[in-house]
Amino acid sequence: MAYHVNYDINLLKAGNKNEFERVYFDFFDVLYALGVQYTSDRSVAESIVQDAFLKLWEMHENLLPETNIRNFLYTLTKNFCLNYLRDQKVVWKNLNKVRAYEYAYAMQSLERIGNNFMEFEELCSKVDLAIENLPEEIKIVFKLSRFEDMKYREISEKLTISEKTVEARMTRALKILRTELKDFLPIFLSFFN
Amino acid sequence: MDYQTSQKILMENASEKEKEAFYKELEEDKDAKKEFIRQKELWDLYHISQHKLSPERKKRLFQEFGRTIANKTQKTVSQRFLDAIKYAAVILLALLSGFFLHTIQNQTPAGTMRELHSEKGSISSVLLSDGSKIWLNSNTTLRIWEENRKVTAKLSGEAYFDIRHDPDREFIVDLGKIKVKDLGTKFNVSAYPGDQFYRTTLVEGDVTILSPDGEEIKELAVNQTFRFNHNDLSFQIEELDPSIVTGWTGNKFVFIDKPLAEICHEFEKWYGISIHIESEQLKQEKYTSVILRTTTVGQLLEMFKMTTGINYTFRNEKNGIVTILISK
Repeated sequence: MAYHVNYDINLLKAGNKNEFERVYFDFFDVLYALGVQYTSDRSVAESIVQDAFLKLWEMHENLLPETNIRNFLYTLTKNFCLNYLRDQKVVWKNLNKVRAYEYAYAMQSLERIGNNFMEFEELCSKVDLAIENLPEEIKIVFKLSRFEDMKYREISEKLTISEKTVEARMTRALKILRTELKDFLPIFLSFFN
Repeated sequence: MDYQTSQKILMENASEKEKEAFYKELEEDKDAKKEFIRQKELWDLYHISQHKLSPERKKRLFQEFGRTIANKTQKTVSQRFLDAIKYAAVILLALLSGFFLHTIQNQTPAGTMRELHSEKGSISSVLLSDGSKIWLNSNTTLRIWEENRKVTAKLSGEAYFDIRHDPDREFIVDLGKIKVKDLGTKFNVSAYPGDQFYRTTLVEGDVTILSPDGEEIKELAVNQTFRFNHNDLSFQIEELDPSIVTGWTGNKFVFIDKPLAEICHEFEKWYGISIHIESEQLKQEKYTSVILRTTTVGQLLEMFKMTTGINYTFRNEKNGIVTILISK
């Protein structure tokens, strides 16, 4: 992920549509991916990201030269997702306990990722690096499951290994990653204890 | 911590039953819960980058974005009109959630009249050229004009004034049946046309309440509120905490002795939700509260439930909208 593009705040302040378009197309993907992962709902993610851009538009005349556009959009998207999850949690509390729990866990997971876009980016690149450093045969299994959303059976057919082996490699991959990445995750706040 | 089950859940291979049992277990084991959230956090990070939207859909969404902002731009036309006339004294300052502050300027025999208006559900503020600042609460109109070193502001709605001291100038807020005279001070005036009481609260400095013909009725002390009943022209002095009275300038809902129906109406406007209060009696029950506008609907309802004993449920309407039902 590389979004080290600088945006012309003065153009944005003036409501320049080309500059807005540039920001929109540079950022849409990462914000959308974030939204889908945590809300588990593509259409919700679409409207959350759209709302974040609309908020940027509403605020454009008040942007300051030092405003970090990436951070602004990231924070808005993250907060919109948190609000959505919080509301869903309440709605489902009495209807379906399992779903209510899932919204609660998604919220806690999202709360723990970077407080700003730089932190988030760093975290993602650490994760990517840790995956690249996995032993080769384990990495293949992990990547197939991650990027192509393949089930154990499909992976076992593709690699001509047994399903049991796929499962064992997947478990190992997660274990290695957990150990590798443990220093980069924030420590739990004390009120969880 | 059962890694096999947690892995199964994260991979979405677990049944409802398995999930339910697992989550129940987590509720009883804090460490296991912590460990699961850690795992889920990593899992989410591994998978974020795999969600992609087709370029066509993205393009369509951008076009939609373009149409929406075009509509918004039309609405702010009066704001640009303001830029065009370049009235140097007025600078738009804060904006909260899509507010539009309209200002109109007219030449009258008495001098220049300016009209400031803040729409429903929005809060705005203006900075005057002498450094004085005025905040307008939702649905408020303020007409200001100056003649012979005397500034008069006619208010309909609620405003907070932070007026710079100028010994050569008088500043008067005209509420029709009473006037508030100020000599460099901070005060809040709430005078919505439908309200039975108009309230003037002194936060700092000096204000005097005058009759329409300028006769002195009462000089307020700091923290005092002048509560005026404009039906029978009686008044009372209340002690209200100024931080509550002026809370709305800091992005908070402030309700002082408001019927629940009005409070819920404010929430509907702000959150874009639909609320139904089950009984007429409950609608008229009065509450006082200060709530941050960034509070989520969920937190808000829980807070009300805990402090007032009000219950809420959700009803799914045919059109897909969820109505919140409130009862006691």
